[in-house]
Amino acid sequence: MFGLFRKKGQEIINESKKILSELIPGQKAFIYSINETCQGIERKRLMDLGFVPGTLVEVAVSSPFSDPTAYRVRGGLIALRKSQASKINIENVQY
Amino acid sequence: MSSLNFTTSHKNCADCPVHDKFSLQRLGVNAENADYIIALAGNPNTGKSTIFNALTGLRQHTGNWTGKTVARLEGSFVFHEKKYKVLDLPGTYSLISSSLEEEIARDFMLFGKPDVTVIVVDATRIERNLNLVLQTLEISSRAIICVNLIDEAKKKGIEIDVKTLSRELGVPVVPTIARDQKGIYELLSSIEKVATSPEPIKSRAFQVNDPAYAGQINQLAETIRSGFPEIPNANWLASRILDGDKSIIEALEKGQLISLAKDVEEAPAAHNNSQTKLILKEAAKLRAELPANYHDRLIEKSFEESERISKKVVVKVGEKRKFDRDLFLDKIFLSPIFGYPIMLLLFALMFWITISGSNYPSSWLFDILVGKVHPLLNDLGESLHFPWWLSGFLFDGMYLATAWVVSVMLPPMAIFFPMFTLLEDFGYLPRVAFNMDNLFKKAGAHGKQVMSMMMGFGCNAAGVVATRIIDSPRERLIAIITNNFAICNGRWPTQILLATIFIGALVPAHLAGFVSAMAVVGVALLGVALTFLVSWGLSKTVLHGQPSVFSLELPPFRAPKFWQTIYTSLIDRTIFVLWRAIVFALPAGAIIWLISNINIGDSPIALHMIDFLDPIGWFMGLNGIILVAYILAIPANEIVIPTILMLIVLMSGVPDEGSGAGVMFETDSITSLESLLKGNGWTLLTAVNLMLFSLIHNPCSTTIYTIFKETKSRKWTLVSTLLPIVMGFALTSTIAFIWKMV
Repeated sequence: MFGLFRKKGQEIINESKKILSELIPGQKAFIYSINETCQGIERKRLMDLGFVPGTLVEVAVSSPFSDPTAYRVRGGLIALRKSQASKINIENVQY
Repeated sequence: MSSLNFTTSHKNCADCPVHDKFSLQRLGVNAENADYIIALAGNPNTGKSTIFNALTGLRQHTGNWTGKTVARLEGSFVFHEKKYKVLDLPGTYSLISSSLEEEIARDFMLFGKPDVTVIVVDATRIERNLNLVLQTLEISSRAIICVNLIDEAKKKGIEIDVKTLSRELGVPVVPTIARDQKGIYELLSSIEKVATSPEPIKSRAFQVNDPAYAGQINQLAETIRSGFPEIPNANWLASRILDGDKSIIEALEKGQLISLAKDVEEAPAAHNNSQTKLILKEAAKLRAELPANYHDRLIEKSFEESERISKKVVVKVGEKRKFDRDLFLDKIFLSPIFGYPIMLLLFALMFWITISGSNYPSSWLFDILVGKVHPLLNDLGESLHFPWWLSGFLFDGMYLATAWVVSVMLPPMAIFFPMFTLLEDFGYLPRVAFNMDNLFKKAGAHGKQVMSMMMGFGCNAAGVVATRIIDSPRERLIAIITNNFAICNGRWPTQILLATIFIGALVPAHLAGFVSAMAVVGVALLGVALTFLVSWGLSKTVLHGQPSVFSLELPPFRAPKFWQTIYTSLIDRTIFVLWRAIVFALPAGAIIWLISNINIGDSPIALHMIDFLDPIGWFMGLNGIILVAYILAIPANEIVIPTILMLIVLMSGVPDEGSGAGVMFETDSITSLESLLKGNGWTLLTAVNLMLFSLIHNPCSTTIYTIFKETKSRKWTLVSTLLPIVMGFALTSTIAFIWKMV
């Protein structure tokens, strides 16, 4: 029903944008943005670790309880909690 | 700070070191005996400490522990007759995100002005590493890039074009395999060249910047330059101030920035003040013109540049091997099926090796230090005609307590810490943190706490130091406060002894060993449960709202260098802990001897204390002797049992037991010990409550001191000290109350 109110150009965003925590091991995607609700030191740390827009991220492996999950990003293997990964918006998911 | 007067002794002398001796002193670094100061910077897990070891060899020691700890390790080396001092700065991912480690590393590079900054990068993760390199090059023009782990990179099909990298960055680049000592001579030559060069080496003036806002930065930089013409890197300062960097703004307000300028006397305070106000006013005006995501843009630009350079210098050679060893190992170690069993098995094995392996050297050390050297010392005192109180004070008091602590403590630590370090270097421990994070998260803590907790089973002081790997302030504080619930090796003997005498005796003889072992394991597990419970409680109450950020990097698996690891863990952990223990055991021994030998009225002070504390002890299901022993043994848990035995004998005056007032001893057989304790009125309740109290009481003074050094806060030191003792008191009193009711 949201389709009725969609503006032009927004269509693609709604169709293909996902969040990082939705991916499963083996999947890859490009980072689109970090959510505005993630601010301060937490945002800075994510970016320092290489989670900056335009970066290719691959889900490497999950821990036994599936949270946290380890991601391959800019040559590093970085573990993020689900609460963090859900604040990273992604696009162009490669299954 | 503003009262410090900087005078510079050398002016434009080509051979003189450029480092700022006075700033270094203020940062807690003694540069007196060194010709040159070298700083080692880099991302965590780049082999920075391996480079450090390769450079300094045997000439190193744990960093100075005064004030803000600049470096984890300090060391020195001599090359072509010049003495170099090396400081291993904290590993960081960035220099502009204002975490504590970053500030320490940055302040040192900025104000300490090392003669050379060696930036260590991991050849296999060069793109992410370059981010830090670029940020470092902004503030340091005397830098060398050390591309380490080129062998690992080659295995992964990666080669680094060193020449292009050097041209891109404008600084020397040296490839190394530090583990195999390859490239170290080249690195030394390069360090020498940069250190002795009178002019800063030419670095391509790189600035992490968004060109869209160059106008604002230039304008503020101009204001800074007109106020303080001598200050270099005004553009960088401008960018930091505009980004709202608190520590830089603070340094500006305090008038510390002027020390950035070489060969300049401090500007008059008045001038300083008015210029500072002008800069801050200008900054406030300009900041309004910048977008809210200014900081994001900076980091994005920095990574853009890293990516551009990385694409130029990383050469893929051959096909990447199909088999990814790291991923294969991770699938096993992190598997939902094997993950936890492997972890439990490895840790059980580690403790078994520690406990069974240290029995023999422990009793051997004890025989020598207590059995042989102690009588020798007494004989020496006699032949020198020492009065009885002098030999008593020195040998029975100070020496004996220290010898006791060393012989009980040294062997398990010398076995436990190297094993721990081996697992750490292999890359397994971060995986344990990863596996356990879910549990710790529920308690409001960080998965890495599992590492400081495990370390705490060896020694709580070392465990508290180990919390440094937790880079989130709130979770680190939780880990520090709860570390005491990991039962350290000074407390294991108490547990084992009481379980054997009182709990093993409850069941048939053939089950006694198993049941008493289970009782000890039970107490240790209770400690783990309390760790989670107290962590949860702290995160929900006093620490609620403290800043928190999770990050955990899983480094590549690396076969550790066995001997090197053993050596560094001895230097790094064992010697450090042992030294602190000795420092505290000496005065404790002296006090124990004094209160047992100085009489008030017709009995020694110790007996008055026991009488005074007996009612409280009774209330807790313990007794006065135990409480006095715990007060005396605050410096080291190892001496609790010997002190208890000495006090029992002192009080009851059993003639054929003991070695005299204030002389700690241990009986040869469990049976005579049993009769001694039971003769003093000990029951199963006493034993159970003592086992619990041994788990839940204040940390030893070494640990308390370490907590203060690490938190720099009286408040948290007090909380860490009092919380467990209040809990221990409550628990033992409740058990005693119920016991007596039933």
